[in-house]
Amino acid sequence: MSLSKTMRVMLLDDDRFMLDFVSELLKELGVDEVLRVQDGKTGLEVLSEQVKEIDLLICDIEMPKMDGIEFLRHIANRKYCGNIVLFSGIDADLLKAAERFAKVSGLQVLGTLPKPVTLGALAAVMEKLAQGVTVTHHNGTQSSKLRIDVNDIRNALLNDEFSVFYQPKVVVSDFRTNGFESLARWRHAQIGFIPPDEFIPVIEQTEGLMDEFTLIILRKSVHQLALWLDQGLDLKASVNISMENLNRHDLPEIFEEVVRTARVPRNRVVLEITEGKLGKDFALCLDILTRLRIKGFGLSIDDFGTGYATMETLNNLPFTELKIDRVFVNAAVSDPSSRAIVESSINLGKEFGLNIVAEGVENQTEWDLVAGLGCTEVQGYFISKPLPHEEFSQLNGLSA
Amino acid sequence: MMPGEHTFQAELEPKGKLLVDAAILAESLGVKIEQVYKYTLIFIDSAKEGLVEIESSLKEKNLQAVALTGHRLKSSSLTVGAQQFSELCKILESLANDEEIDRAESIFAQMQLMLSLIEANIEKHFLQNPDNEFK
Repeated sequence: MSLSKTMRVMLLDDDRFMLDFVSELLKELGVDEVLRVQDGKTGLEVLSEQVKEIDLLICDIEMPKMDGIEFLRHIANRKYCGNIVLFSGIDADLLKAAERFAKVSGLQVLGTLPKPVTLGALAAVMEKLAQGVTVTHHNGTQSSKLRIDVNDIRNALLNDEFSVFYQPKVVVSDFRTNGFESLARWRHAQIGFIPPDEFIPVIEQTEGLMDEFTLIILRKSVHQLALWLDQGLDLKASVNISMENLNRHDLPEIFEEVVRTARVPRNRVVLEITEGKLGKDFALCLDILTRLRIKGFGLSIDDFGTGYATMETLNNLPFTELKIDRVFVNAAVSDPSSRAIVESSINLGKEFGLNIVAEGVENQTEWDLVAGLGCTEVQGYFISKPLPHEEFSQLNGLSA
Repeated sequence: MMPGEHTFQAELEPKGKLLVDAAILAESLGVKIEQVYKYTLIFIDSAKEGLVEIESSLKEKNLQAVALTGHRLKSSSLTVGAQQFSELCKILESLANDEEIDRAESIFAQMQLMLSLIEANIEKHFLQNPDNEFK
């Protein structure tokens, strides 16, 4: 079967200029068809009339009459299952709140696109979309959204299709790479790379699968870490773990065994837990996380600022690191409230004696800002995108 | 940075204040200076429509509608790098109290003036600059 990507985008914005401008940018990026809609009511009509699926809905939030939130509520009620990008010039925290609303309403939110939009920002969204979301079968005109099910994941695990990319973490004070975050990548035999947003939710929803998946990523990460330590690099590995992993009392022993097998010191491994997912079973979380810390693992609270973590959470759980979410880092340069969030997060982290990492730093201005506010480490495209191990080695002066 | 860009900025505001920053729009477009003129004209058309809406809303003393149009024009003007115009939109967007209608009218008058200046300067730049023969 031969596959190729095609794109149909619906753009909902009350501003005619923005419709013209973004449509042109989308065409520059190779989008085949842009449906331009100037109000929510018409947007609902256009969506209901579609025979051919729309790959992406770019939705303005602030519009007269029916605003973006109301529009999203309507399409959620209609069980709309396409990808959505929220597009607005409203403050970053409001845009984030809108994103949360859309997600809890069951909508598939690919991300947010702050105004003024740039070609680069739009390209990043389209790249995310293009990574396996939509396929068109050459043997017909039907376009079908990629549906990943548990069997696809099981086969991928069996065929060792998951690899790990490594994104450097750099110390602000001396620009030294002192670690990396391990990021799972799925290279599908026919579609190519499938982004984690597409397959992680399926894994999380399948009992037991997350344990298997996390162990594979942890094994690969610590194995690579051992090679780099042997070659003289001074690094720590950060590996994401899910709340779904924190459901068994013997998890610390299992992780301990994986790390021991790789002959890596446990204090070289940091486990990152997403803030928003904490608190389902607090006693069990506390039990497992405390024992992981006792065994020497580092514990990082990931995406800080996007969930419900409080000072009490930081006080009660034995974290060693706080990672400030990219949304706030990116917005902090121009948005005073986001800057205040970044600043208070850093201060909070300092109060608790945590290592403070700014995620998603994309340019010198953002680096200068987080460095000036006292952040200890930085991660993001300004330093490097996530790299396969050969390129990470080269970046750090080793032969691939 | 493309040829003529500095000239463009300088001509727009001889007193040193920036009315439109072509570099911002060029960056948005992936540094395609030839498209800057086209989008600036689309912005001007759209902004003129917006000003008509604001005028109508002001007559109806509907400050909420004024603020909404201000919000819309704020994003557009930022996109083309019209920072000062965008600042006026931002003020308009923030006016929610009916007692501020006089201030809204004053801001509106400034926006009209600034838009005509932007238009005149853009036309002047693109018509006089032989490097930018836009079709």
